[in-house]
Amino acid sequence: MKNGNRSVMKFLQSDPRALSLLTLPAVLLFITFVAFPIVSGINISFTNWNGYSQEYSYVGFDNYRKMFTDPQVWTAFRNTLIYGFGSTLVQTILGLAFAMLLVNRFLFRGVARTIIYLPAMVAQLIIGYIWYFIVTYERGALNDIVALFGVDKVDWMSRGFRAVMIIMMINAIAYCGKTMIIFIAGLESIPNMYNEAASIDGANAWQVFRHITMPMLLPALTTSLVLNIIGGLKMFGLVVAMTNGGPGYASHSLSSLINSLYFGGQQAGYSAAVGMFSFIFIVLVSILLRRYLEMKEAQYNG
Amino acid sequence: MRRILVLFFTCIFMLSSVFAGGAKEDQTSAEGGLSGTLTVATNAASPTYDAVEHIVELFMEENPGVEVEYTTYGSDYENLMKARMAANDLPDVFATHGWAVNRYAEYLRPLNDLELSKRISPSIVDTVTTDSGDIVAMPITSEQSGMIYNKEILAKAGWDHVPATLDEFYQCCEDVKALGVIPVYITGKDTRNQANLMDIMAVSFLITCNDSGDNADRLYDGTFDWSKWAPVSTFLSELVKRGYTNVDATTADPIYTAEKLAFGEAMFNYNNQAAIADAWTLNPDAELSMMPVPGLHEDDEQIWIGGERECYGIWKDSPNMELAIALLEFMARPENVKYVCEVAGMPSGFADVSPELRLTPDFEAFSDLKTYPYFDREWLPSGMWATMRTIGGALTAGEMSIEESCKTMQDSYLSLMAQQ
Repeated sequence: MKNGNRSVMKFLQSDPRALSLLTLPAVLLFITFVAFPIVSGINISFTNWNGYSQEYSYVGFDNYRKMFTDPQVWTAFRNTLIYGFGSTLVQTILGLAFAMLLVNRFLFRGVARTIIYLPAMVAQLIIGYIWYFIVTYERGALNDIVALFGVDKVDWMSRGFRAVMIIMMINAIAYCGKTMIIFIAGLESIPNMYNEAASIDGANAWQVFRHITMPMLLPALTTSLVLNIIGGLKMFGLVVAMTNGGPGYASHSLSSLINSLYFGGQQAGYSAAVGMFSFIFIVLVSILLRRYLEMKEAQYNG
Repeated sequence: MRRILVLFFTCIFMLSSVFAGGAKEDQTSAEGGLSGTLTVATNAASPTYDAVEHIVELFMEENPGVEVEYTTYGSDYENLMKARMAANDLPDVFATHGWAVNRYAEYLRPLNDLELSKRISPSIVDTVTTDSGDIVAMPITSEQSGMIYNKEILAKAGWDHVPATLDEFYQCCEDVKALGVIPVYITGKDTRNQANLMDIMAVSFLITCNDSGDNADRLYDGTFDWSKWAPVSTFLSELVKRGYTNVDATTADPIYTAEKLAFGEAMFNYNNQAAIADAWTLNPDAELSMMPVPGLHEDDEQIWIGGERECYGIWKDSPNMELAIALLEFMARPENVKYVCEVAGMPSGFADVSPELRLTPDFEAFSDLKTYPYFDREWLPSGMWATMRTIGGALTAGEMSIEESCKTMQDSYLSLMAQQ
């Protein structure tokens, strides 16, 4: 018995095939929760399945053809770009500003970092519900503040584009703490000798930031941009909690539209086609963005 | 190695216990009473939910060996039920909310062999009966709806009768607005409210009006001209444009409806009787009532909209069939049906139960009017409700034209008809 045990241990420690065996749990999880749903989604996207019946038929590329002329999809696509790129822009500016401020030592620095990071630990749906009660017309906190200045109450979320911009800003404010942490890690890894050398050479604060801090922060910026853009492009919880895609379908993201088409609209096949479009788009954006930023890093590193 | 073996056998023992627990048990305990666990799901809100929950508790008192998990999924109910239908894994007993035949029938156990099926009110039994004659659900309460209104405000606005036509309705809204009261209260955060408004008005505008022609037949066979939907969208759009709705109609939360109705801040609202019962819990003196749907033209008839309301069916593959039947039979007892109807403020779904409702005299004043089903339940394919919610929200916000709303309805209708 002991000999058998030893031979298993020996196999695991020395045989290269054992390494493949050790990846088996991860591969199984990937197949179950990623590969299978994608293949199943591709299959459903060619059907007219209503999402619950045991019967459906194949309709070829009808769902994909319909997608390109459906105003709902294009509105959701435009909004998704705003949620993805708009949020990332604001988030990066805020995150970098907070990081520059909070990288220096001062009293309560830890408390300040915690407060800014705290919302990033809360689920998007919960953040959405909290903000809903701030911007709502009836008894909303924002309207109470507006009323203090003698201005009439505003129904903030009643206009489509305004609702989109508000959701984008809330996403940026809520998750700028995450960006800040990434930048703080990046800033702390910059050796102090560069700053000292620059100050001896007479560089001002902007020159130090432009020619030392920013290039050295590029790896952190790459991580942060990719994470934030993918997060924004997958926006779901905030939209559902604050507007449920409305008014009409004006504030839908592609994710919330997919959900709405699948369950409410009973068009699971069409919804899966939109899902495939969204999946391919996010993969493309991440690959292109990563390549671009890696190229930039290589340029700066000479 | 011995330690590993002990661990292995412990795991096997634990797993076998788990699977033994999952196996089908005899639902009759040693003492002869029923035993087991039953899951029951609904979309009902207070006060209907509270009333049914009370009946479920009485059932558990009478059957101490039975545990009933009674849950409301609220506005997520339809989505969750669709996911569970796709997985063919449904609650033992579940609410069918007007879709017993067109959506849930293939998952429901026919109830024809149960005595309770013979007692279902003849006026609504057809709405829970399939083409093959299977009665697939049991309606505890039924519905007779039109528009909720406040009698006191109506009188203050100088009206001695409820508006009978569309023109009268607009005039009434104008008079109510002059009093500083919101004529029509819309809660657009949950666009089911606008969809409900259109679902009710569409029957009057497209089916029962004197120039409806063959609209009904064309809706059934998929050849309906969707430009004819325009009056329904226009009605909602006009309410907003003329300032007859609340300022926050696009985003108002339904939780405020009871308060607005109870304290006379709003005149009309599109909801069923349960909303009145809810408002009366805040202010029992509120002079609220239900009026029939106005006709489109002067010589059109006023109508009621009705059908089943709190209605339950049994999943045909339920492993707890005996318990599920026992629960339905318990719920159907006349005293229990009466209790639910009176708490919910809704008419009974059974012919032999006459609840004492505060609204009964008001309904009797219009007893000669006909009752029609909701538009989407009868004349549209399952799934159009979501489209009506989308266009309802967009029209309220002024973000969609009437033509676009007709086109959206048409696209969705054709797509869903093709699934059938």
